Amino acid sequence: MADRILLVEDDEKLGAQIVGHLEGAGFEPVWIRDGAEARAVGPDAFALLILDLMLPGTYGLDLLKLYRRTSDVPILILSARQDTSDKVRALKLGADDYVTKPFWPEELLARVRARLRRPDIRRGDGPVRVGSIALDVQRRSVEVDGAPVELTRVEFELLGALMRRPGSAMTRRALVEAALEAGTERTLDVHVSRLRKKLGDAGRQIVTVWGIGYKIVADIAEG
Amino acid sequence: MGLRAKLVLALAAILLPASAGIVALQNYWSRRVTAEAMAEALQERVDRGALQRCERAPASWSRRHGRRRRHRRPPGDSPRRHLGELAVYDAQLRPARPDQPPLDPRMAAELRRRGHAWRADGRRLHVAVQVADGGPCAVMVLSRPLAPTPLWPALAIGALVVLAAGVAAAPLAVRIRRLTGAIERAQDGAPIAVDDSPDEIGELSRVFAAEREKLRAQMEALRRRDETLTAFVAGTTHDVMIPLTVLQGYLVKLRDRCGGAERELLGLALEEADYLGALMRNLGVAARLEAGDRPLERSELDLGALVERVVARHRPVADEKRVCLDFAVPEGSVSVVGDLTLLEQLVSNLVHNAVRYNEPGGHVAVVLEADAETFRLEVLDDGPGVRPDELSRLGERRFRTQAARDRQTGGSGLGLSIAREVAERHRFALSFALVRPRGLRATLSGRRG
Repeated sequence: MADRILLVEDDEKLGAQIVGHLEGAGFEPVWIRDGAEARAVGPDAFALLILDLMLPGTYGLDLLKLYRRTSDVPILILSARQDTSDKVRALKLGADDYVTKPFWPEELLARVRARLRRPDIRRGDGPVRVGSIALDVQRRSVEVDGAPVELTRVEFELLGALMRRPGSAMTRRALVEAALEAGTERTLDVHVSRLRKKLGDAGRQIVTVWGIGYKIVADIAEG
Repeated sequence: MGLRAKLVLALAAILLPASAGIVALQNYWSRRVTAEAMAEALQERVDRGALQRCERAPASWSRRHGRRRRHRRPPGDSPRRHLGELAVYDAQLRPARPDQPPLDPRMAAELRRRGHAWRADGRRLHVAVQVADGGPCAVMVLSRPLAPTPLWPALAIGALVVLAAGVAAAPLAVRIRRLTGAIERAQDGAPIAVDDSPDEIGELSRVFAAEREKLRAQMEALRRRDETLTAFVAGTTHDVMIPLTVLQGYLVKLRDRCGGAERELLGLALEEADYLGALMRNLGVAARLEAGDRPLERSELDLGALVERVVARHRPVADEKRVCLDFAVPEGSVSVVGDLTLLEQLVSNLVHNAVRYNEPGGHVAVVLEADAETFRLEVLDDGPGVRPDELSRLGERRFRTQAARDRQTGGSGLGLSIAREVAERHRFALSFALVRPRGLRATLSGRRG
């Protein structure tokens, strides 16, 4: 089922475009044009709210305050002013993120996806799955498409560090600190190379990131 | 030296010589008057026959009258009072007695010219009168002790005047000092307290107060105009942002529908729209930075989220250019105290430049690292970099002149100048270094909190 997204935006053309972008990305947008109508909406009916701060009649921040009183739904702010206090106040009042105009459709969608994805990030020690690789910290086991893979301790720590934040690049220094007790950044490449080999085809999920280090992606095309 | 001390010194310098002069003048006049009276008295005595008595026996007459001490009054001679000691000379000024002192040559000269002369020699006053054309008693000289005229009353009066001036000047000095203090405080915004005396100091304070009020009004007008202008720029920027966002949306839609040469052209259009957006943002920020000494709007912000936002902003154009843009931030939030908009624009400008000057197939990496006290943010690219001699000039504050209009360098002058200024205002360090085999590394570092 597609995520329902509430858009509160008074500008006709911009609103129509955003609705188009959201639909194109597989979301189900509901568009409200004025503040009075927006006040009557129950925020919990949506997976995410996109709120323009500059609404005629209603101050966007008041609306934000109103929604936050009853709901924890992720709220994304649209701002056009090079003014810090509005953004800071919005964040203090509980907005999760903001996008400043002018923005690209992809930029907005990236922010929306990031907000919707966020609660799924695993922080505990439970089993993690990225693409075809599954890792269980407690049992210290790794499987690729259900088949167990034997890893050294360093390789396991490396994979664990990457899988804790799938899609996010990790610096070589951070990986060395996380997995190698007495290693250097040079030996890191050797360990990664061995790890990739052991993972077989799934080894391509570990992507070299130029200037940074490595990251793990669910889909090879994504990297 | 204070006003009061100067006044006292000036008065002393004038009054002391002046009173000495007055005393000298007074001495001269009183001696002259005495001398004239003595000459008259002598003449009177001569008129009563003293000359004849003298001519009868000049030496003894002279001796009788030449005694210094009070003497018995001779019969026939009946002066009412003692005139003084007499000395007698003949027409050639030879003394009648050998024990008489010779006549003072200056007195003799004057005597010849005018028939009488007088002279004071410190303790005594001498008066010479030619009483006959010839004979042994032609010239009689009367001398009498001088009563010394004391200098101290004049000096005392002078000193008293000087003292009085010092005392009188004290309140003036206090008022002037008070006025000085008021003018100094006026620089901090306090109004000048008017000294309402109808004298020159009061006038001075009124003029100062009026001028200050005029100046304050002018400053206020300027400040208001400045604020209006800043608000206008901010408002205009805001008004442009919405249609620009819509335009970008249309461009993306169009690009997605086109292929071949059109797609390539739309890619270029996209880049220009992106440049325009960056320019508008920078103008908005520049207006804020240029608006005098307005303080930063500091708050605690998450640098990791900021980096993510900036990368998301530039990724569409990076993708369009086929420049690989990636970032890494620590797992937890990296809180830093600063101005959210300004810092975001700083990082955005660094990333924008790294993407814009790169070539297809190039890379840009944004890395944030932090420990408990400091952070370090690097924007690394493998683009063409800059000439080594240009490196130190990156981000020079040139945007007041023409860098903003210099499109030959893509207007990066404005973006980097803003980056430099924002870093300075936050006391963060911003540096640029060339990397091998090619590329540029911009590093922003500073203290958290």
